[in-house]
Amino acid sequence: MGSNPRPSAGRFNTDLPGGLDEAKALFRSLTMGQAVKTEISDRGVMRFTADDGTQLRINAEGYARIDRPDSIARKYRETIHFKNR
Amino acid sequence: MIIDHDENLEIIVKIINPKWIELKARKSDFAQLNENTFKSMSFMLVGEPSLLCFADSKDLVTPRIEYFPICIQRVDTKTYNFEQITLARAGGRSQFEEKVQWLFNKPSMRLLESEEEPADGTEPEAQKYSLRFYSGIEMTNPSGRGSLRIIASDMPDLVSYAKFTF
Repeated sequence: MGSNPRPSAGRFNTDLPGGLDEAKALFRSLTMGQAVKTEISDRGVMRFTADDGTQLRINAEGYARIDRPDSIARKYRETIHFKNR
Repeated sequence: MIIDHDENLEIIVKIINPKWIELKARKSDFAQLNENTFKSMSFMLVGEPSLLCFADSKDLVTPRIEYFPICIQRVDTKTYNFEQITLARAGGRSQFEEKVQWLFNKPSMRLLESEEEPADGTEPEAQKYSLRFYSGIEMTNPSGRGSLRIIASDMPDLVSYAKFTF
């Protein structure tokens, strides 16, 4: 889904333009109709996980990334970084 | 080679003389996977000092990737707000607790290192990197058998696994 794929341990990191607002909008679009579980890590990372495993993570500084499991991204697991920080 | 060794972790492991009385897991994401292995968003060793262990999320700038080192923090149990489950207590009498009593008797500690090999692209000429960081901590029974490894994981993200060997 994103551009410039960069492989790392078991996933591809990719990029999309935009920041937190764009990440939220894409997450809503990808997970429409699904239940979403919200949790906050001990470090303050907010994690929103949909039933199909799609995840939006927002760290304490407001940086966002969306994680798509390989069952959804089809070929590989993808972590989308939103470049405008 | 990119090395991201958190010096704070090295200091904690070097200077503390653990005197724990309880092992707890946060209720979020908690599951017992088998007799020896637990999954949770964080694990807490309660005592002097109390230590909280959990998966952190960090970004490399070049190549821009996310990775998940272990984070270990001293915590004040009185101000910790998340719900927890007790897995074992010093002096506990269950079969499992009896097997892990060594954990409450000054165990040895060491950090566990992981290495990843990210790249800045998928083309054959893409530059490959080697990234080393601490992904876990191991407590061992200095006077016999027994160990506990708490490992940060990115599958799924921001969870840790606590695995005992007996």
